[in-house]
Amino acid sequence: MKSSSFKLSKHWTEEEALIIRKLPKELLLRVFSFLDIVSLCRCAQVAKYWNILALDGSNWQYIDLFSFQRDVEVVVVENIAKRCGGFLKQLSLKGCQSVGDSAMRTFSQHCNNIEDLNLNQCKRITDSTCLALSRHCVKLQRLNLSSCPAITDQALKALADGCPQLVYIDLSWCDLVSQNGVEVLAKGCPGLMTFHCRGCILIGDDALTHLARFCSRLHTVNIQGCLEVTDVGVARLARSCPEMRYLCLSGCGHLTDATLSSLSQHCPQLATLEVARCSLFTDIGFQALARNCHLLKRMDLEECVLITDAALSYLAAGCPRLEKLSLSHCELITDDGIRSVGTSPCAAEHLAVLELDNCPLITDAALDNLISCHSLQRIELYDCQLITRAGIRRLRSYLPNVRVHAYFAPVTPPPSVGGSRQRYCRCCIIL
Amino acid sequence: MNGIYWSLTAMDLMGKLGEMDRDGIILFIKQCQHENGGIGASVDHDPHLLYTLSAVQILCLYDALDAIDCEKIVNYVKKLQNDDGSFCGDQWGEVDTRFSMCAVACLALLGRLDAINIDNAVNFVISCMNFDGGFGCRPGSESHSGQVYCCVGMLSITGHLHLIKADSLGWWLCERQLPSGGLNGRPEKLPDVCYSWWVVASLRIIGRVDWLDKNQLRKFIMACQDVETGGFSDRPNDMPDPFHTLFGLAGLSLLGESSLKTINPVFCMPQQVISRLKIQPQMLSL
Amino acid sequence: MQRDPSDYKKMAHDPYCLEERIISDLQAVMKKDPNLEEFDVVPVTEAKNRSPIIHISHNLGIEVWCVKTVFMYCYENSFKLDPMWKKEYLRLERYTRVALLLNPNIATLWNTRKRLIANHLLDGDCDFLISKLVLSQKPKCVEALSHRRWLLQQVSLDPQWVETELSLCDRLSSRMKCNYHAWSHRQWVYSQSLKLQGFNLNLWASEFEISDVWTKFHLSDHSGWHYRKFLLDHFRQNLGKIEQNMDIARKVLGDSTGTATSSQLYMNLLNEELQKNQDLILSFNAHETLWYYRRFLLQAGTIDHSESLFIEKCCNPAKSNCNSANNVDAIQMRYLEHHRRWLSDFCL
Repeated sequence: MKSSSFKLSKHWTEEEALIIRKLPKELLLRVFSFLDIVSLCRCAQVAKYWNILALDGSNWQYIDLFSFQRDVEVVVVENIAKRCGGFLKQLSLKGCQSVGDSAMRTFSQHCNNIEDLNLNQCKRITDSTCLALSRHCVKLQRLNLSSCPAITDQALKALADGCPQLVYIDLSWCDLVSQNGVEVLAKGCPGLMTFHCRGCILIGDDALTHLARFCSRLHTVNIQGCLEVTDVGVARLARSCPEMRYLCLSGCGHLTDATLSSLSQHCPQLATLEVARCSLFTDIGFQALARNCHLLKRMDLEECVLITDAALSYLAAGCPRLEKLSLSHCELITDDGIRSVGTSPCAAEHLAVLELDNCPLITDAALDNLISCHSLQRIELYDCQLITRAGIRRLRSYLPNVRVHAYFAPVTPPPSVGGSRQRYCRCCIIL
Repeated sequence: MNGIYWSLTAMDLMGKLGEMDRDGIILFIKQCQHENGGIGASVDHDPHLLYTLSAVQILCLYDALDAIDCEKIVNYVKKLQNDDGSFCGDQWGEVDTRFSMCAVACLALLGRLDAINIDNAVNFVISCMNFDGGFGCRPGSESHSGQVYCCVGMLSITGHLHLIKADSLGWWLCERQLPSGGLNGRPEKLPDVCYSWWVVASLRIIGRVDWLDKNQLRKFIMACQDVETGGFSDRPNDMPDPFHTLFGLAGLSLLGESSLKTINPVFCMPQQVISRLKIQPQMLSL
Repeated sequence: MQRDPSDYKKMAHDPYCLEERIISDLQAVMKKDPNLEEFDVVPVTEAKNRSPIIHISHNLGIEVWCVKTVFMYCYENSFKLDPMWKKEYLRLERYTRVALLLNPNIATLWNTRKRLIANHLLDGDCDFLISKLVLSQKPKCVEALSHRRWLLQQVSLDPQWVETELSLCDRLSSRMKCNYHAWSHRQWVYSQSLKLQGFNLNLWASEFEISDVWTKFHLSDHSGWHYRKFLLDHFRQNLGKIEQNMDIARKVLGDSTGTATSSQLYMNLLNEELQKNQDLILSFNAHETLWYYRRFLLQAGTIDHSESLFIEKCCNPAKSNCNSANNVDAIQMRYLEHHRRWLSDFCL
C-alpha cells in the first residue's frame, strides 16, 4: 500500500513537471487563477517556479481573509497590497481586528483598482482609511464598513469626493454617522443602489430625504433600528425610488399604516419587506399594501402585534407570489387567517416558509388548512401551545418533506455517546 | 481511557484478561495519542497525564508498549514539569500532586525516569506534606487519602520514602478505619470502597498495613459486592461501577485474597506485570 | 487527530431545528440576565409545545425531556467544529456552552473554550457565568473550578474578583459538606491575591473571622478546619511583616492588652483557639475533626501541662460545666485514646 502510493505520487509529479514545461506562462497563470488563496499558498511552497506562478498578482484578484481573521496582522495586508497591486479587485478583511488605518493607507496606494472592499468589524479603522480610499481608489463600487464604530461623517464626505462610482455601501452600527454625512454621500454618489445603516441611531427622516433627492436608483435599503425614522422619511424615499425591491424597516417603531400606503403607491416592484416590531401597523395598512405590491415574496411581520386575520386575507388575495411569511408573536392571528393564506390560489405553488411561533391562538385546524401547500419546506410552531403532536403528525402525512418545528421531544432519542461518563464516581478519580 | 484501565486490571487480577478485545483496545489507544505524545480520554479528546498513565498501564498489561510512540510520551511528560518540580496535568497549567505520581509512574513503566528532574519533583511532593504526615494536592492543602497514595507512590518509585513521617502518616491512615470496617478518605467522611485501595496501598508501601483491622475491612469490601451484577459499589447497596470494582478487588488482593493475583501496591497492576518490567519500587518495613 | 476536510460540508445544519431553538432560548436568558444565580434540570412529565427553558428570579432551568437530545447535539457538534477554523467559532461557543452546562465533566470542552479565549475570539465573562451556574448544580465540579483558576490568570481582573471568588467558595462549601475542591479553590484565591497584592492583614483577619463563624456551624467539616489551620500557618509565616505593623495588627485582632511582638500575638491566638477547641470538644460529643484541629494547635504552639488537665476533663465530664457532655460515649473515648497515643508519639 505504502509503496504504491509512493509510485503514484512520483508519477504524478513527473506529469506535472511536464505540464509546467509544456504550457506557456500565460496559460499556467490562467490555471492558477482558479485556485483559492489557501491552495495558492500551498502551491507556492512546491518549487521555485510554482512559487512565482502562485504568487503572481494576477491570481490575487479576489481575496477573502475571513477564515484567518484573527491572524491577519498589519503586515499581511501590506504584503498583499504590494504583491497584488493593481490586480486586486475584491478584498474581504471581515473580522480582521488588527487591521488599522496605516495598513489600509498602504493598501489604498497600491491597489488602485479595488472595486469591492469589505471591512466589516475592522474596529480600528477610522475616517483616515476612507480618506486614503478617496484619494487613490476611484473605481471603488462596493464598500462594507459595518461595525466600524469610529467612522464619522468625515469618512462619508471623503468617499463622496473620491469614489463617485459607489453603488453599494453598508454603514450598519457606525452609530456616529448622521444625516450630514448621508447628505454629502448621496450628493457625491448618485449611483447608489444599496444603502444599509442598521442601528445608526442618528439617522432619521432628513437622511432619508437626502437619499431620496439624489439617489433615485436605490433598490435595496435597510434602516433596521433607526428609531427616529417616521412615515415622512419613508414616504419621500418611496416616492423617489420606484425600483425599490428590498426594504427593511424592522424596529422603526414610530411607523404607521401611512408608510405601508406610500409603499403601495410608489414601490410596485417590492419583493422583500421586513417590518418586524413595527407595532403600530394594522390590517388597514396591509390592505393598502396588498392592493398594489403584487410581487411581494418575502415578508417579516414578527411582532406586528395589532394585525389580525383580516391582514392575512388581504395578503393572500393580493400577493400571490408569497414564499416566506413570518408571523412570529402576532398574537391575534387565528386559524381563520392561516386558512386564507393556506387555501389562497397561489399558496400551493409558492409558499415555502411559514413562521407562526408564539401565535397562541393557532390550533391543529390551522395545520389542516395547509395540506395543499406542496412547496412548503418549513413551518415554525414553537410555543404555539394549542398545537398537538397529533396535528403535526397529520400535516406530515400530507407533506412528508416539510420540516415542522415545535417543542416536542424527538420520537427516537439520539444514539448515546460519552453520556455514560457521569456514572463513575467523580469524587476520587485519582488514576 | 480510565474505564478501560479499571476494567482490564480488574479482569487481569481475576485471570480473565484474555476475554477482552486486545486488538480493539490497542487500536483505540493509538487513536487517542496526539501529535505531542500525550493521550486523551477518548478519540478527539485533549491529552492529559491522567489518561496518558492509564494508556501506558493498559499497554503494560498487554505487554504491547511497542504499539505506540513511547519516546513521544516521554517528551510529553517531560515538558509538563515546572521549575519547582511540580507537574501540570496538561498544557493548561493546573498543578496537583496527582500529576506528579502520574508522571513518574508513567516514566517508570517506560523505563525513562532519567528524563525528568527527580530531585525537584521530590522536593515539590515533600512541600505538600502536612503536620499530620498526610499530603494534599498542593502545598498547604488538606490531607486526603487519595493524594497520600499518590505522594507515597511517587516517593516509592523515586526511592525517597525516607522523607516521609511514616509513623504519623501510618496512624493517620489507620484512623481512616470506621467501626463498620470500611475506610474513609478524610476525617468524618463516609467509608468508600475505593479507599480500601488508596489507604491500604499506602500503608503497605510504608510497611504498616498490619495496623489495620484487616478482617473488618474485608467484610466491608465483600458487603459492597452487588449480588446481581457481581460488581462493587462505593458502599453496600449502591450502584456498582468499574472504578469501585477494581479498587474493591485490588483491596482484597492486598489483604491476601488467594483467588486473585497479587497486586503491586504502587502501580495498581498485577505484580507479575511489574516484575516482568523489572521495576522494584521502594517499600518500607517497620 | 486528522479530520477529513469534507466533514465541514457534511455539517450543513438546520438553524431552525429544535436543538438550535432551545440553545437560542437558553442563550437569550443568559444574555438578558447576567446575574443568574443557579442552574438545574427540572423534572416534568407533561409534554407541551412550550419552551423547556425556564427563567425565574435569576434561576435558570431546563426541562428534563430535552436534556439528552440537546446535550448529544451540542457534544457532537463541539467535536466536529475546529476551533482553529475561525468561521465556526461562534457556533463552537454556543455548543460548548450548552454541552458544559449539561455535563461539565468533559475537560476537553472547557479546553476548547480556553483556546477561543486565548485566541481572543471570546472574552472570559461568559465563562465565569457558565462555571458559576455549573457549580450551583454540581458544587464539587473540579473541571469548572480549574477553568475559573485558569481564567483568573488570563483575563484582566475585575477589582472585586477576590470577593466574588470567596463568596462563590462560601456557597459551594455550604452546599456540600467537606467540599475539598471548594476549599482548595479558596486557598488558591487567597494565595493568588497575596501574590498579586502582597500580604494583607485585613484580608487575613476577615478570612479568619469568617472561618471562625463557619467552623462553629459546621463542626464536622474537616476542610473548614483545615482552612483555619492554613490561615494560622500563614500568620506564622508572616510574623516578620506583621511585626512592622503591630498597631494595625493589634487593632484588626482586637487585642487591647498591648501585646508587644507578633510572635506573642500568634501565641495568644493559639491559646484562644485551644480554649475554644476544649469547650467544643466538651460540649459536642464525638467530632473527630475537633481532635485533629487540637493536634494541629498543640504542635503549632508548645504542649504544656494543661493537656493532661484537658484529658482529665474529658474523662470526667461531670467536673466540667457542660451538661451535654455527661453522656460520654464509646466513640468519644476512642478519639480520646487516639489523642493520648498521638500525644505520646508527638512528645517523643
